[in-house]
Amino acid sequence: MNAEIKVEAGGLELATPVVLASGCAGYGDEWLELVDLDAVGAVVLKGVSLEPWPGNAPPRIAEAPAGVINAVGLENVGLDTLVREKLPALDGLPCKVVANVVGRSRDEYRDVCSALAAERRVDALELNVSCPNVEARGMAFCADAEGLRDLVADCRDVAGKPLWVKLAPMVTDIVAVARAALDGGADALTIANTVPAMAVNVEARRAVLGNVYGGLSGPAIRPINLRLVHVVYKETGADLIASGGVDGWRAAAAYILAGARAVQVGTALFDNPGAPAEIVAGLKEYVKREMFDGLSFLVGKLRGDRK
Amino acid sequence: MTYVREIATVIANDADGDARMLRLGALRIAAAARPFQFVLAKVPAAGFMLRRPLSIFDAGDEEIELLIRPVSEGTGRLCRLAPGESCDLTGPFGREFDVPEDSVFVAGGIGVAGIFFALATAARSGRKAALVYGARTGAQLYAGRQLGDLAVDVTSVTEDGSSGLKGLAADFIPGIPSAETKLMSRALKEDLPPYRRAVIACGPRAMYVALHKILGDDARWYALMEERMACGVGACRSCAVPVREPAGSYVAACEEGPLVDAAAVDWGRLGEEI
Ligand SMILES: Cc1cc2nc3c(=O)[nH]c(=O)nc-3n(C[C@H](O)[C@H](O)[C@H](O)COP(=O)(O)OP(=O)(O)OC[C@H]3O[C@@H](n4cnc5c(N)ncnc54)[C@H](O)[C@@H]3O)c2cc1C
Ligand SMILES: Cc1cc2nc3c(=O)[nH]c(=O)nc-3n(C[C@H](O)[C@H](O)[C@H](O)COP(=O)(O)O)c2cc1C
Ligand code: FES
Repeated sequence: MNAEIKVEAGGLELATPVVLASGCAGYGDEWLELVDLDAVGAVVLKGVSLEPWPGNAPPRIAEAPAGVINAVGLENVGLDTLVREKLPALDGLPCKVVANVVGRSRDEYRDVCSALAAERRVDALELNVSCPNVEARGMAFCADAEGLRDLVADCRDVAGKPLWVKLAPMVTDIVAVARAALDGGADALTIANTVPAMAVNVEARRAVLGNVYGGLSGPAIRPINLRLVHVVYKETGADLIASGGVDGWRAAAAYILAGARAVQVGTALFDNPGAPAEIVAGLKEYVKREMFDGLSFLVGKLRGDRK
Repeated sequence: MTYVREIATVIANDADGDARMLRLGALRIAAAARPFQFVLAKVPAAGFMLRRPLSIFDAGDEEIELLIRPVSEGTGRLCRLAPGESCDLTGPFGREFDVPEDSVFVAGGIGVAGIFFALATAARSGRKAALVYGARTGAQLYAGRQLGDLAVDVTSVTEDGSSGLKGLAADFIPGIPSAETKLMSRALKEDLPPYRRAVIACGPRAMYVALHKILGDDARWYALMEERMACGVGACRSCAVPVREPAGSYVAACEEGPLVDAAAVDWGRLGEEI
C-alpha cells in the first residue's frame, strides 16, 4: 500500500518515513484513537532511565512564536515499569517501536540499553545524549566528542539491536559530534533535539516555566535543524532521521532532500493529530507527481549540491 | 476512554457577562461527554501551537456547550466564533468521577464551567445538589439562567458584596465552619463537629488555598486542576500536578484528573496561578 514511501533507516524497515518523536508520543498507545498509526513507520517512546524520574516543577510548557518551549524534565516511569507494564501493551501496534534512553552516567545508559536488548517489542534504541552528565560537572554528554564516542560504544556493545543517537542542535561542531557517535557504532543519527530557550511573563515578572529554561520545538527550529541535517549528511553520508518542526509533507520532503531518510513528528501532533496521515498522503502525491521511483531515491537529492 | 477529533459547528454564541456561551454541534463528543471532562479547542487562527483546554459546560444528545472567558488571545479568538463557523475539537478528555451523594459544589468565577455539568446531572436525576458560587464581583457570576433552570440550591457570594453574600465562597459552605467560627471555637476551646459531606470545587488557585485552609486535612474534597496542556491524552506530561505519594512526584491532570482528590495533592509544591 505504501510501497513508494517505504524506507530503510537506521537498521529498520519503516513502512512510512514518519516517526513519532520521543516525549510527544508517550509510551506508544496514548494517541491510538487520534493518530492514524498506519501512517507511522515507528514510534519513539518517552525517554526511559534506570529509576523513575519525577520531572520538573510546573508550568512545563509555553507557547512561543511558531513553536513551544517545554521543560517536562524527562519525567518517566523508569525501566522496570516500562518493561512490565508499557511494552506488553504495544503488542498489537502496527509500527516499529524505538525505546529512547536517558541517563545521568555512562553506566546508567549502558544498563538501560542492556536490559532493553532482551525486549522483543523494542525494535531499536535511541540515545538522548542531551542530558547532563553528573560525572562531568553536568556537561551534556554530546558536548564532549570523545566521551560521546565511548558512551555510544558502551551501549553498542550491549544493545543487540539498531542504535540511533539523538544529537543536540547547539554544539560547536555538529560534524565532530556526529562522527564521534558514528565511530562509537551508531546506526543512525537523529538530528536534532530541542533548542535551549525561555519565556517570560512580563505582567507577573516571572519566567513562564517552572524550570525557567526549556527546549524550543516546532516550526521555529526547522530551518536550524534542516541545516544541521544537510551539513551532517554531506560530511558523513550516514543514515539520518530528522527532527524539528515537521508539520506537513513539505517540511518532511525538505528534510529528506537535505539528507534524512525519515522524519520525526512531535509538536505538530498537539495541534493536528492528523499530521502523520497528511504527511504520508502528501509525500505519496509528491513522489507520483515528480515521477520518482520511490521516496528513498530522493534522500539527499538537493539540486546544486556537490557530490 | 474514547477520544475523537471532531469539526464542530457553532450553533450559537451568546454573551454571558464578559464571557461567551458557545453552543456547538458535535455529535460524537456530545455522545461521549461526561461531567468534569474537557475538550481541547484549536484556536481558529494561524500561529497558535497549542489547543486550549475548555470544560464541557453541558452536553445534550448532539450538542455541547462551552463557557469561555476571553483572558488572552486564544480564548479571545474562540469567543469570536460566529454561528455557522466550525471549531476543531479533540476530546472528551479526563476521567469520569462519581459524585458522592449529598456533595456540595463550590465554584469561583468562570470555574462554574467545570462543575455545571456534574451539578446538572445530579439535579436532573433528582438528587439534592447545592452550589456555593463565589466571584470577585457580581458581573463574574456566570450562567445565571442555566443555574436558575436547575433545581439547585445556589448561594451566591461576592468579595465586594455587589451580589449575594459578601465574602469568600469558602466561608459559606453549608455545614462547614467558616474561618471566623473556627477562630471563635478555638477561643472558647470548643470542638467543631466533624464534617462528612464531600466538597467539589472548581475555581482559581486562591480559592483552593482558602478551601485547603478552611477544610483542613480531614475533609473529603476534590479540586478541578487547571494546568497548561498540550496533548490531553497523557502522552506529553505537560500538565503536571504535584502529589504527595510518591514524594516529589506528579500526575498528569489530563489523565488522572482534571478533578483530583485534594488529599493527594501536594499543595505546597503547586505552581503559581497560570
Ligand atoms: C481542564 C481545564 C478546563 C478549563 N475550562 C475552562 C472553561 O470552561 N472556560 C474557560 O474560560 N477557561 C477554561 N480553562 C482555562 C483556559 O484553558 C485558559 O483560559 C486558556 O487556555 C487561555 O488561553 P489564552 O490563549 O487566552 O491565554 P494565554 O495566556 O495567551 O495562553 C498561553 C498558553 O497558556 C495556556 N494557559 C493559560 N492560562 C491557562 C489556564 N488557566 N489553564 C490552562 N492553560 C492555560 C494556554 O492554553 C496556552 O497554551 C480551563 C483549563 C483547564 C486546564
Ligand atoms: C513535550 C515534549 C517532550 C519531549 N521529550 C523528549 C524526550 O523525553 N526525549 C527526547 O529525546 N526528546 C524529547 N522531546 C524532543 C522531541 O522528541 C523532538 O526532538 C523535538 O520536539 C523537535 O521536534 P518537533 O518540532 O517535531 O517537536 C520532547 C519534546 C516535547 C515538545
Ligand atoms: S496534556 Fe499531555 S499529558 Fe496532559
